[in-house]
Amino acid sequence: MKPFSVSAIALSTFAFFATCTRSDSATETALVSDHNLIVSHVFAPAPVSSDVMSLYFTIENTGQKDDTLLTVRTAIAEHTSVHESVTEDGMTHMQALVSLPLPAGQTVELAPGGVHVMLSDLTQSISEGDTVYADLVFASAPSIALRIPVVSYADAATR
Amino acid sequence: MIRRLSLITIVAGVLACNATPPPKPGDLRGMLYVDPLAKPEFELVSTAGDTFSFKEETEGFVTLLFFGYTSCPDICPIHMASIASVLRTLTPQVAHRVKVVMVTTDPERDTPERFRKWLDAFDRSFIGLTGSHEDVNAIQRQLLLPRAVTVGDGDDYTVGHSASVIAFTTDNRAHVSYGFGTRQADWAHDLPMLVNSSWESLEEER
Repeated sequence: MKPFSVSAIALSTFAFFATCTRSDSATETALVSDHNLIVSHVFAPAPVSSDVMSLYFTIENTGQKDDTLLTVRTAIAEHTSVHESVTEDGMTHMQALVSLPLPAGQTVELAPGGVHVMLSDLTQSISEGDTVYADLVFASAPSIALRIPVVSYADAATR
Repeated sequence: MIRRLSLITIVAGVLACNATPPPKPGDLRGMLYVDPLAKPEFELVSTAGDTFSFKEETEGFVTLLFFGYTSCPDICPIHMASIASVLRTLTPQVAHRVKVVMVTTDPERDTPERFRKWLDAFDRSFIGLTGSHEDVNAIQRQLLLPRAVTVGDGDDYTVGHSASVIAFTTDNRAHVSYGFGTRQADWAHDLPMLVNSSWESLEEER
């Protein structure tokens, strides 16, 4: 029975990735970890000034346990932080979040005008069409490596 | 029969006067001001280093005014990219009647060179203005916007600011503003209406 289960998981995993590779858009690619976190809609607008850029994605926690996004590691920026754009009394400001809760059974969307990962002090020039990489580090689940398509801000605005 | 003829005459008359249906204020997708804002008369410095008299230099244009800063990774570039993208899709007759003016809320980091380069990434016609915090705060106050607030230390600070783009029409008043979340389809819908109709005519058709 056990070998069958392993095979089934391997098969379903293979099928999942096979599906992903047929996707026309890299942003539609979902990565799955063995702790039920599914990351999709990954994109980053090309930085306009050379020092900051945003990273957006959606995380679905399909498991029974809460998890937390602790940090984002990437070679392309000196600093990363999770920010939320908050509007109060007509004023929009960015609020740094120490971590990002990922409640069991819920989907957390990082999108323009809301939560985003801010990459600051970029270490290299990044342009639209590039692909960059980052690791999402969680409290419980193993890290997830993201392959991030760099898009234009005009494109990001339509997502 | 007479009634039917009258109706036809009226319909024909309306069609002759207005080949295309006129827009109505209720069709605008921005947020309407209950009390329209007067276009402020202020002077700030352009990225070329010249004095820019806002009211005079934008006279006769639909003018989109926004307060933001170039180290902003989210709201500001999304707004600018959306507007620039839409302007490129509009006819020159409409696009050339729109001026986009951004006032920096971060004059320390937004040098004229940096500001110009940032704006050029979206549209070379976009106007960037710089002034002291006091001057910019006074303009924001006049426009009922909260003053910008700096958060954080060192060089990595962020600046809280209004996310609204205020649209002044050719009557030198702002009747409508566009918050974050305004889609490119909304700009594409509203800008031709704001350009092609004076606000008075829009109001009459309400």
